[in-house]
Amino acid sequence: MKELIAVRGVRKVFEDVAGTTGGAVEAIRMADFQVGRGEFVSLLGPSGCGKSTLLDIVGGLEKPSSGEVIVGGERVTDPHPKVAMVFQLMSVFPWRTAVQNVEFGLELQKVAEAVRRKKAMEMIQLVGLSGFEEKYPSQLSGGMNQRLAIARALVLDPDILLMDEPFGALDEQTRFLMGLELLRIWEATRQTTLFVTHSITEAIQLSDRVLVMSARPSSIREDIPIPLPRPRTIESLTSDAAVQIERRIWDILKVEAGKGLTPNAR
Amino acid sequence: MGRVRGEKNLVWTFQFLVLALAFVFFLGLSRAFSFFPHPLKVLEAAGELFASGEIYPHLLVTLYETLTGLAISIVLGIWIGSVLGVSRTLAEIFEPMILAAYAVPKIIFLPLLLMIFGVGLDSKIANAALHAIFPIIFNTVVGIREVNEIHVKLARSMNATLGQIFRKVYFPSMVLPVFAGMRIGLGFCFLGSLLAELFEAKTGLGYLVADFYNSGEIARMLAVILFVFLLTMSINAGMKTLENRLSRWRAP
Repeated sequence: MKELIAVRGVRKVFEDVAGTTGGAVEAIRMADFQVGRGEFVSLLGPSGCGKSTLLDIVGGLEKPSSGEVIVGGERVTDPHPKVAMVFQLMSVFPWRTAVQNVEFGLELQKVAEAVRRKKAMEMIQLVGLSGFEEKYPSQLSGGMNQRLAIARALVLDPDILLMDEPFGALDEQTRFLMGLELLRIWEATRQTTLFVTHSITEAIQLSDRVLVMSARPSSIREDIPIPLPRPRTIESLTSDAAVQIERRIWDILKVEAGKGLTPNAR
Repeated sequence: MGRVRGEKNLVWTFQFLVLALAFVFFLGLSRAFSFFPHPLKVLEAAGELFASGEIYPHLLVTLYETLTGLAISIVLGIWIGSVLGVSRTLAEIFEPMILAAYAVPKIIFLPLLLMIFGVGLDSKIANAALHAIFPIIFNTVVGIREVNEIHVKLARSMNATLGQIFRKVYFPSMVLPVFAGMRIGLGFCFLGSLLAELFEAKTGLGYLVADFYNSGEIARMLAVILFVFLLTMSINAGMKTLENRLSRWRAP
């Protein structure tokens, strides 16, 4: 499989500009991985391990201190038009209605109003929000707002979807159902997806591969394939095979996550 | 819905009662003090001021001073507030000074403004702007600091230009606090222009109050005061309605 995203020797150090952290902080020591076209890959790691920073670097929002990211053969220096991002809860614009939120990116690209309205309506239907087009985010549930955030990214017809803990603020059951919903949408579009999460269950539920990260300064500890059949179902996700993968990931993470619990963790 | 309507009726009933009480109170005042006119006399004087057209030139002058002062304080206040909102360093340097200046009664600068801008309308405009600029600065700072970083990040991830980030993220995030600052600022503008007119002027509602006071026409003086009172109240109510319309998207 030809890779669409290549992360090569990325290191990220935050300089102590404000003088608050007592010296430079090495967030990412070494990240090296590829994502193939049409693949769904999760970045899984303990809190504060720099996985969101890594995603920002892939998205062109942050510059690596060294190393490089190649997307579709081009070196990433700025946000790439063929890459769309989805962030945590409350990234939808509260002053825009559902359909206006989805239209946001098209508006930036100066797409004609009739065209962008049509595209946005189609996308709202795809994510299952028909009938809520004119509602404001304050009138929708958390899960519905995240569907909106996904629709806002997908309407740009990206080759790559970067998702930063999009369901992190939802309760466990809603989160699981949103995962299944995301997979349903993904089966239809098959965008190459890089998904940041700290939930082992979520990573297994969604991914073709899980990249397990170490505690800060982080690196990719393990590249674990998830050979569960698609579409994923509750049966396959609770099968012995799934449980064994979960145990294997736990074996790595209990050490890494534990580092964050000791008093002198840096 | 029924409960809300019931509550509204209750509120209106009480507001009417308060008005009636105010009338009775002023009736009492007119009995207690010989100089205090009967409230109906005040209403009559108000009617005459409008019927004769005497009040209009003064009203226009005061409105002109107030609105020009407001326009100046909006432009300067949003500009200064934006700079302070964006730059931590500048905010640290200037915020304590501005806060201190906010606490100083601005009327103390009026003699200075009269010397700089003359006794004409300009000094009243300057005084109005000076009164209004602080709430506008502060609300702009608050507005900028309340812009959600995730929204900016999202816009950047979609290759938004700086102009687009300002128009489509900063502006809508800030519009409510800044508008609230403008509403408060308008009240202060009235204060500024009326104070200046009371002190040294040849026209304006404030001058009219001072003039009637000096000539002992207390009913007419009170009529102007009553009018200013109603004018500010209705302008404020209008601004509040506009503000509510702008904040339709907020959770009910």
